[in-house]
This record gives sequence, C-alpha cells and structure tokens, in this order.
Amino acid sequence: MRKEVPFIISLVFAVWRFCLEAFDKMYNYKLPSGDLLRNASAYAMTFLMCGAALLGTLNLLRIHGNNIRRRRANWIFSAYLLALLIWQIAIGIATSHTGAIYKWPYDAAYLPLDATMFSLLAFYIASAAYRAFRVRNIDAAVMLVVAFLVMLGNVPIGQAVWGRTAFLGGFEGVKNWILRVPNAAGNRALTLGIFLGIMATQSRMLLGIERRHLGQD
Amino acid sequence: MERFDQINPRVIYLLLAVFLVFPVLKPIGMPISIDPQLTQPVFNWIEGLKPGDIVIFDVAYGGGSDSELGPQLKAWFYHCMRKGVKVVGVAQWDTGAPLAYTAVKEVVAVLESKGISAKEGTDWAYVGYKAGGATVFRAMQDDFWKACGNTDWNQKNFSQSPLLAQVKKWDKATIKGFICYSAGSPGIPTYTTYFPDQDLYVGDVAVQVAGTSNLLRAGQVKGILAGLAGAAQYEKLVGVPGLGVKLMDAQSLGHLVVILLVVLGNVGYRLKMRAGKKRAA
Repeated sequence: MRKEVPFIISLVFAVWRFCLEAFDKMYNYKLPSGDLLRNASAYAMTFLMCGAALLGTLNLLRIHGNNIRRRRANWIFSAYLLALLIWQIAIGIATSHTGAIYKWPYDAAYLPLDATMFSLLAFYIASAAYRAFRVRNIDAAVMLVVAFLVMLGNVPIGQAVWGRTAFLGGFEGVKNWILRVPNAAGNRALTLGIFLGIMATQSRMLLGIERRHLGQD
Repeated sequence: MERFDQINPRVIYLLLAVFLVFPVLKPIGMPISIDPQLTQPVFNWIEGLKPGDIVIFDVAYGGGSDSELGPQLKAWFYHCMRKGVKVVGVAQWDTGAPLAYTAVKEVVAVLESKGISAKEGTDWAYVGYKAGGATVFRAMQDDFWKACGNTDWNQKNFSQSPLLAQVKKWDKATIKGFICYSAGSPGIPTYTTYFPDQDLYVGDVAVQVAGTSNLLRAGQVKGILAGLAGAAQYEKLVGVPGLGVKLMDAQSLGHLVVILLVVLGNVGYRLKMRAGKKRAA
C-alpha cells in the first residue's frame, strides 16, 4: 500500500489536470462562486506551497534541533540557523515583509553574500578558461574561435576593433548570426530532446512502470 | 614562453582584479553601439506605446544577478515613466521581489527630482511575489485581483490603487506587453507556455542569452536586453547613462584579459609540445 496509494493519487490528479487542459468545457467551467475551475485548482497550488513551506520548517526544526540536543559536530551552525529562522518568522509576522527590521538581514547579509558568490565566478571562469581552453584538436579550435567571437561581439572593445559597419557586421554581426542560427538550431534540438525525455518519463510514472520516486520496497 | 602554459592562479586573479577595478575608478569611455536585433526592439516597444498604456514587468532574479538586471530594470522603468506608460510589477522570485521594489523607488526619486510624475499606485504599482508558482501566474491572467489576494507589496488593497483598479485581468486589451527580467527558473517559460499570445520581452543575464536566442528567432520573444551590455545600451537609448554604461569598460577589459590568457596558455602549450617532441626525437 505504501506505493499503491501515492501512485493512485498522482494518477488521479494527472488525469484531472490533463482533462482540465484538454477539454474546453472543463477549461472554461465556472464554479458557483464565479471562479474558473482551473483557477480554483491553481489556488490549491498556493495552499500546497504554503503547506510545503510549513513542512520544510518543521523538518528543519527537527533535524537541527536534534543536532543541537546531541551536540553533534558543528552544532553551533544549527543553532545559528534556527535562531535566524525563528527570528525572521517572528519579525515577519509582527511587522510584515516590508518592515525595516525584517528587511535588514536581507539587505545587510543575504544580498551582499549572494552578489559576492556570483562575483567570484568571474575569477573562477577566467582561471578555468585559461586552463581548459587548449587547442588539442579541430573541435577545440572551433569552440575557441566561436567563444572569442561571441565574447568580443558582446563588449564595446569588440566594436572598436571590428565595428558593425565593417565586413559581415563586425564582431556583433558575427555574434548575432552565431546566436540566431547555429546556436538556435542546437538549442531547439536540445529542447525537443529534453521535452521528449520528460514526456517519456512522465508516461512511465503515470502508467506505473517507473516507481522509484515512490521509494524503496 | 613555455611558462605561459602554467601561470599561477594568483597572478590570473590579480590581473583580472586590476583590469576590472581600474576602469570603474577611471572610466575609459569606450563607444557603446545599440544592438538592432536585441536591444532596439525593447526600446521601440515602449516608444510605440501611448501615455496611459499599461505594461507589466516580472522579477525572476535574485541578488546574484542584480548587477546585470538591476540596471536594465532601472533604465527601462525610467523610460516608461518618462513616456507616461503605466507599469505594474510582479515577481516570480521571492528573493528578487524586495530588490526590484528598492530599484524602482531609487528611479522614482530621480524622476521626481526632474519633475516627472512617478506616483506609486497611479503611475506604477508593485505587487511583488505571490506563492504558487506558474499556476498562480496563470490565474492572474483571468482574475488578477483574486490571484494576488487583492493586496499589493505594501499590503494595500488593489481598489486603493487607481492603476491596479484598471487591471482586472491580463488580456491584450489591458496589458500592452510583458518584460521578464530573468536569471533562471521560474522565468521565461511561464510566459511562453501560458501567455503565448502576449508580446514578451526579456531582460536576460548574459549567460542565458544563448538559450533565449532561439525564442527570439521564433518570434516568441520580441526583444532581449542581454546582460550588462543590454543595460548600457538601454541607458544610452534613454539618454541617462548609469551603472550599465559605467561598468561596460570593466566588462570589456575583463573579456580581453580572458582572451589574452587563453591565447598565452595555448602559445605556452604549443611550445611545450614542440619542445617535448624535439627531446623525444
């Protein structure tokens, strides 16, 4: 039953959602409240997300609470996490998400840390590009040339060296052609492949062939 | 020369830091040209609207992408207000919602100092993040008020805002286009999947442009602001140089450093290979 019940629930909801999209009468069906049926199910999604947030919070409290109680390695970070979590929830409820106290950790800690993490990527990418871009064969040479063209097509220095009014539209013209033609073709092929893969996996899950997501026996 | 094959990472980091910081402190002023296929259509979209028309911007980014998408949003919002176009802001990312509100408020201060009307609730409104993902965005299409719980970013009722009072649903008669400032998922697919009839423009992080270009060619996206370069170009089009223009010199030199490093690395690699072959012979 551990696998059958979740399978039946997911199958029922998948069929329900499919019918909602596939049949006009269901798509445009109005409830007595005046809401469209499909929108009412969208609000159910909001409810589910809020429920998931609550479950996630309870799970964090349980796991990190245990870390603290049993004084596991690095338990102090668990204490730090829970203190901040409870503080933000309490302040958020008391003052709303636009309150100055609630926003302070976001402005003073989250944003600078997030921006710093991404800024460091520039250095890692420079170092990785230097190490990885070695012309060992013709494929690597093509990739290197294309990378140079797109990079220079993106910045003013490329315009200064080979401008738009020059042959082939300069670096920018070549970059745009690469993005719009070979890149678009490759991307579409990838997108279609991914879509077909998702469809196949979903079909297997709905037909009960694929059951690994329901857990081990 | 063979030593170019193994430059110390510390030297690479230092070199890049110098070339990134120097032009920020002392701008070189490299010429910025407008991309006719990516940036110009976004500008033309707003230019082609009448005062009073309503557009929607969507915040689908967080703090890590703010340096690229923040300047884009600011320049675009400035353009809308100057043109008298009404703007409604929503957010698909909870982490980016406060960022965009702050950015818009900064532009409002500049606009007001120049005597341009930018009154919250009348000229622009900000709804922010609403939990529920793409399905709730889809519900906004039919009943914007109900899907948003009838409260904006500051917990004010929609009926208190003359602008939001006009936006009951996201049909083409009411909304004259969307721009999604996107750094990942959820983002652009929400619109290409659920709002295929609407005119969609994208403010994209540079790394994502390759993936959005096929949508541009297919007509699913009408224009793209591509990374910081897109912001700089839009600032130039609007005639208000800001952070985008200022940082383009740094980005230019950063790109140049990476190219030089790769070239040097390959020269070193080739020479080392040749020396190795000679020794073997």
